[in-house]
Amino acid sequence: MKHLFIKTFRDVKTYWTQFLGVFFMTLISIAIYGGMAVVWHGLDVSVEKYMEESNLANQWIYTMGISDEDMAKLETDEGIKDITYSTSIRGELKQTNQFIELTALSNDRFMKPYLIKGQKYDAESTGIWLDKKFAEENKLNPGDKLNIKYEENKKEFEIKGIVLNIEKMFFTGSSLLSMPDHKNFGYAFISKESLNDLAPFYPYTEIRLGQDFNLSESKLESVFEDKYLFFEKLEDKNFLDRVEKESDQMMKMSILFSLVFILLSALTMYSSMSRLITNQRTIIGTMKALGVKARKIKLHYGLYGLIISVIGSIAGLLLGPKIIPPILIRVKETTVTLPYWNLVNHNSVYLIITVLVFICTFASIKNTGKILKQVPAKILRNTHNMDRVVKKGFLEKIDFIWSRLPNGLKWTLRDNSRNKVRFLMGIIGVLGGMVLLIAGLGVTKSIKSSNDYIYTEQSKYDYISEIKRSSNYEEVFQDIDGDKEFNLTLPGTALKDDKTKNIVITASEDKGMILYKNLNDQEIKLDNEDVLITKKLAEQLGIGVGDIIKVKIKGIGEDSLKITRITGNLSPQGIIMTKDKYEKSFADFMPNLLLSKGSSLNAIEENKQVLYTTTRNQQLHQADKLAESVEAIMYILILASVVLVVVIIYTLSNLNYIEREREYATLRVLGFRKNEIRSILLNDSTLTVIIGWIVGIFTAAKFLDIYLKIVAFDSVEWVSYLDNKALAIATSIVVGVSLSVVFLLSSRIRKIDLVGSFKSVE
Amino acid sequence: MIKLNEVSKIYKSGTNEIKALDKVCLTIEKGEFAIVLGPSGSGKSTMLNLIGGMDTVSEGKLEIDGEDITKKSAAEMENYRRDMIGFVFQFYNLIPSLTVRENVDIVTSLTKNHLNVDEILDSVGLKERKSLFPFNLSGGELQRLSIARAVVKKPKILLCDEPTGALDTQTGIRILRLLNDIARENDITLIIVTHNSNLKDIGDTVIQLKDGKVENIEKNTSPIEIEQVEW
Ligand SMILES: Nc1ncnc2c1ncn2[C@@H]1O[C@H](COP(=O)(O)OP(=O)(O)OP(=O)(O)O)[C@@H](O)[C@H]1O
Ligand SMILES: [Mg+2]
Repeated sequence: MKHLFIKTFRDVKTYWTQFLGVFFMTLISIAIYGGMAVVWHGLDVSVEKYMEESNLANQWIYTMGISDEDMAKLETDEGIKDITYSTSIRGELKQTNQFIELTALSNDRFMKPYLIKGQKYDAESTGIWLDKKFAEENKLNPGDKLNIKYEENKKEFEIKGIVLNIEKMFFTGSSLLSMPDHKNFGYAFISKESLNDLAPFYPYTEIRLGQDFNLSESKLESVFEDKYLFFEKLEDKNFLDRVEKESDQMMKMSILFSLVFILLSALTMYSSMSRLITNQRTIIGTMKALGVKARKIKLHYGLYGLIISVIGSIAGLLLGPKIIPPILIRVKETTVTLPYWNLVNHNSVYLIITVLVFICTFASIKNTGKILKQVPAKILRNTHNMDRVVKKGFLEKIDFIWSRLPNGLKWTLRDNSRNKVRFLMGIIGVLGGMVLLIAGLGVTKSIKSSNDYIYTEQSKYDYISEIKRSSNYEEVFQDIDGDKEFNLTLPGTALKDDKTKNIVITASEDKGMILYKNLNDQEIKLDNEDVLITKKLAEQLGIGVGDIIKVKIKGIGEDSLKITRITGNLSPQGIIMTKDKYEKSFADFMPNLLLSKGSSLNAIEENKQVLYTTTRNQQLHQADKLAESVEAIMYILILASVVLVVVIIYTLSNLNYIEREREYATLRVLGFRKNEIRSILLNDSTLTVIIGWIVGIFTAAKFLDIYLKIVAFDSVEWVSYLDNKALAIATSIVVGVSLSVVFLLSSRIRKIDLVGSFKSVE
Repeated sequence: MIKLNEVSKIYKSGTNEIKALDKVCLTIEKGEFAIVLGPSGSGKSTMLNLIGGMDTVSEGKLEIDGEDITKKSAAEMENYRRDMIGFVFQFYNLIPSLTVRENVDIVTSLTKNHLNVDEILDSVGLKERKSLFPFNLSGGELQRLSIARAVVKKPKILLCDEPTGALDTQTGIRILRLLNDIARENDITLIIVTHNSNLKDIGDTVIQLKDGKVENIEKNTSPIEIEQVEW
């Protein structure tokens, strides 16, 4: 047994390129998957911990104002002891046009600001607890003073602490911002008294309750009467849903790519290991002839696969979480703000390791077993795989074509038909490379082209402003010149049968600032009976024209709507109707968006009812910025893909070469020149590359499509876009690697030891 | 004419030195049939490989038609093998994915001045086997194919390392006969390596090697017919 161990290590030395290939493939697969998994799983775990440390509430109740009597009713009549009341106003920093959302809490029972530095939050203090990102961007520290204005009132605050608010982990400041603007928008905690200094008599409007109490809709209506708006439970909270989706997206991205990685690696490793064993057939035969037990021989070769894949996996497990998280987290932190992002291994990585190790070990044992089944004499005699019978293939029957082919090509074709698995593996290697690279390059391109569509084809306004909602909007904004369109977009849910989706409901004046197009890309003019649904949502809910869906808008109401058309608009995914239809089905039209064209920016910004204004270009820019966060992930994947492609193509070509080295040596002895043999090698490679390339392009297009569907958030549809550049890059990498490998191998032809290669029969 | 002048081949492995050939001097005339004999490990294959340009000489001069091939570059050696040498292996080394005919045909691309593929296949008795694959042939047929492949490009020197080593007596005799006939017909210098000393009487020159040295060289003025050899 000891000798067998020693032999294993000697063999590792001999076949080191092969083993190195297997090593790298396990390493990359595990590093990528493991490295991404610690990030998304770490996000889940960290958020859970953060929720606990923040005493996150279980029920949120929204009202138009809570009086002392209401509080008494809740506390004495209902006997609820633990309640956190809160209210918020939007304050302004005096000169700088920066905004701070000020929140006052009655206590921090169910909304504990997470302290970064300074003092602990005190609901009675006159100080202010400022959001960390805003503080960082504006270089503010505890002890500094802030002058805040609200309407006509001003107040100076001393910064007591720097904090984070879990409920505002995706805080941007405006619904028009898809990425945070921490420089200009911040949030802060102050006391109720301070808040009332700025906004006299402004009441508490929100209630947070814990696990123990749970107030029903009817109870809330009876307590607050018509001041009651709506309530939300933990599972309804948008930020939790979103953070879950972020982690989900990262998970899906890594799983889909890793799946291809692992599949390719597994296939390559399988053929690598089995070929390696086949090359050892003489030794296996000898061992059997010498009477070594079959079990021992199998164990010996099983060790090959086991050792190398275990080492690769461990290296991947150590390296992945070192390299990937810093890049990934930095990108993700541009949208989400957390006090910490712990890295936690997900158990699935161990499962994948087990699978890879199993494949390697199994490939070795199975092939050893296959050889061992034969009698020693037969194993020893059959040295050049002569047992693989050559049959005349289909092409060969067409003599008219076949007889015109050069001998080199005939040789290649027959060899491939004799070694179908090897040939197929070569094709899969090229195909896999194309898929990984095209998808890797295509994802960001697709997202950006979808963004382009949304902000150029779909939108026609110059400015878009978030405005305070009111019914007499016409009058309020009459100073603003140019073309105007008022829209109302509200979050809500759509229900069809047992499926529910969070959607955006848009009520539009439809004056041409946003174009709605049907699936043939023709413009739709909304009429008062129209209810449009976006294509992706329709597919998700299984809805067609004529179907009825139930639409719920938080704090406003619900209605069953009959879908009249499907629109190809990409974002936001939801339901679109005219303002009249909205008024008929839900409530008064009180818009929250003003889209304008040809207006003066000054007039817009001067208007007190305008909360925030941005341009269409700016929106596009932001959306592209967001796409870049996906791009960063893609760069990691592309890089890993390139390495993997090199390893796979090299390993497979090398195997081919080893298998045919004796034939090449024969040719050398016959007097063939190096470059003549190289062209035979090239022949072989070209055939594989061409087939792999063609099939690869189709597979890649399909993969990209599926990938985008799975990875996109529900709120937007990403349309796959395969551009020539990505195609050219992927092609040149794959073809380049294949050719380089041919040249690398052909340089070995010169070094073939002509004497030695015939001497050994193995 | 092949002339070895104090040719040595030394294999170094670490501090060990193995003298596979030790100052070998000998001459084989053009068109001769030479038999190289000797016990295992005596350097027979080594000598053949040196003549065939498959390996490099460590010391000494190896002249072929008056030209010292030890001075040739790698590319010149390629041409040398291509134009001068035909090689027949003990284990055939045919290309399994090519048919009998293709195995020979592939060599014809090396030179314009080659024999007709079908004729040579007919003459080695593989007329009916042309479209089969090596896998389907018997050992003797494989060796005949291997000979056809070696001679089709009309080499000046035909080198055979144990060409009958894997064959039975009857088949062995037929192979030797074939080699001899073909060499005579085409004016090829034929060198056959064997450890079967019964064969010594069939060659024009018989070279005995031992421990890398030439033990004896005999010119055989009246070689016997191959069929008369006692095995
Ligand atoms: N590559 C090598 N490295 C080291 N020693 C070698 C090498 N090739 C041959 N030798 C040694 O050179 C000597 C001659 O070998 P060679 O193969 O020429 O013998 P041979 O006469 O052909 O024997 P056989 O009849 O068994 O084929 C042997 O002692 C062998 O061990
Ligand atoms: Mg020998």
